[in-house]
Amino acid sequence: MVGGSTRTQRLFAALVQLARTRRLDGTAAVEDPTIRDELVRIHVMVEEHRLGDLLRTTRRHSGRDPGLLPLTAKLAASGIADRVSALALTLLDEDALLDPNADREERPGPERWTNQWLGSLGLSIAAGTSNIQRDIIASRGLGLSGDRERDPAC
Amino acid sequence: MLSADPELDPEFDLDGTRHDLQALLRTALTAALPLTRLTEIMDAESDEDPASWRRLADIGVLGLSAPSEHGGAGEGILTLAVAAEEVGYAAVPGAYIGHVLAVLALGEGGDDDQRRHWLPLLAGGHRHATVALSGHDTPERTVRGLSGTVPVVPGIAGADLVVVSTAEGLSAVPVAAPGVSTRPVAGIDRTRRLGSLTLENAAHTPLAGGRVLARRVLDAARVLVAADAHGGARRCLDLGLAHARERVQFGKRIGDFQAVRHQLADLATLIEPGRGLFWLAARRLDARDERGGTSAAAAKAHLTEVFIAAARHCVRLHGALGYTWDGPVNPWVKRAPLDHSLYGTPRSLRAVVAADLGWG
Repeated sequence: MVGGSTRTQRLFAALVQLARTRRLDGTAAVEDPTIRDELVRIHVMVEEHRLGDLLRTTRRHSGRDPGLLPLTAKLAASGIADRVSALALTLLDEDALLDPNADREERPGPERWTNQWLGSLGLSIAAGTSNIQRDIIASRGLGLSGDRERDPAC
Repeated sequence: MLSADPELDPEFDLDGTRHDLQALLRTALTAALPLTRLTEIMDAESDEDPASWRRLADIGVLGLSAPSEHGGAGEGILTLAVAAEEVGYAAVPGAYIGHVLAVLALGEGGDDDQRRHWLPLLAGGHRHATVALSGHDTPERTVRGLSGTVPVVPGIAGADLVVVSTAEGLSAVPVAAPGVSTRPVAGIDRTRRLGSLTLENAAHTPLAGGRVLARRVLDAARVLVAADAHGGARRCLDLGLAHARERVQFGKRIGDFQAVRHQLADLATLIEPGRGLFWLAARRLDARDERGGTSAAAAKAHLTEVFIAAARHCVRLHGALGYTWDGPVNPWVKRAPLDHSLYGTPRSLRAVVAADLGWG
């Protein structure tokens, strides 16, 4: 499912692994206070997303109103993917200069993350771009009808 | 029933009783606190609001965690947090969080005499209590009593009893006792006034449980502030939404402009899933799960930053009206920084989470 939390959790686990193995300025990246702070920030967002998913599922079964969660999950997932990509780019350092798909003799290295960086953009476009999602949340979730619904000429 | 560990139990929601409590508090507290009343309190000498405090007492919220034989309901931190969200939504003045934490501490660590004397008075709202949990300044315990200054204590001005954190654990200190003095401290949030507490060989009663109980009360404090922040952020979204539906500019409701619609959609996406974080932390603390403290720190770090963002967006959505002292957003603009900085800033709490997760 697009916007589901399983994919987000897998992506984050891989990011933690990258932060543990990369070295920045001679020390493990995960020990850099700035990197660690952002890593925890994303960790909490991933956890929040997972719990939101769980509540949404529970309420689908119980029949209680799930609120806006079914509408906001995809936009939230795209937001998390943006932050994961930004931190991965920092962690890659100069390896980010390499083409991740080039036919090289040696095994592909951390530059594979560049595929994630590009792929996360696709995720924010597939099944409705982020701006379409914002329109859906505003119209169906917040009850703001907007130009298209109110003015057929738009 | 909300599970302690959602990995083991697919049911993740409040039970019917807590759900109903939340709905009841939403109606009762917002009715007691229209904007005009909140503005009055911000301009007043004190943050005391007998009407909303009476409703909290009548609904039974002030003594939730006290045992039933002492006028309480024997509830855990989760129920206190559900109420704290509504306290934050309505911007209830005074030290709800300090009061219920003192009740929690006395209920779990007080001796029979203390519990019999204080818990019914506090549960009924006839006396006020708070906690002094500063991480930087801890009074010292000697044979002659407690000595030292805690520079920032919410709710100390009207308190009859304060539970003080020391290196050994928690101690109960009656504020009227010799050697106890308090002074008002001008704070950012005039709905929740601050004061300093100075002790000079003050008489005190140590609570059982030592540092373990002190740690638990601090973790609970973080959960309750996180819940307050989530409630405040929800109010900011609702205020912004109401304004967007009403306000007309250039011949259109501003909620029809895509820039405003998208700003509100982003705000909703930021706020909507937040409950899970403090529910899980509260549930883990109630289950004495060792991950409770980490979850509490994580919830407080994230949700108080979301509240800051929500308050600032809400001001911008309201334009100049949002920037007005007696405008509709001001109480929450001022509550957000208190939630942010009390009992650990987001940055320091994220360092705690990182250490707990074994990251460096």
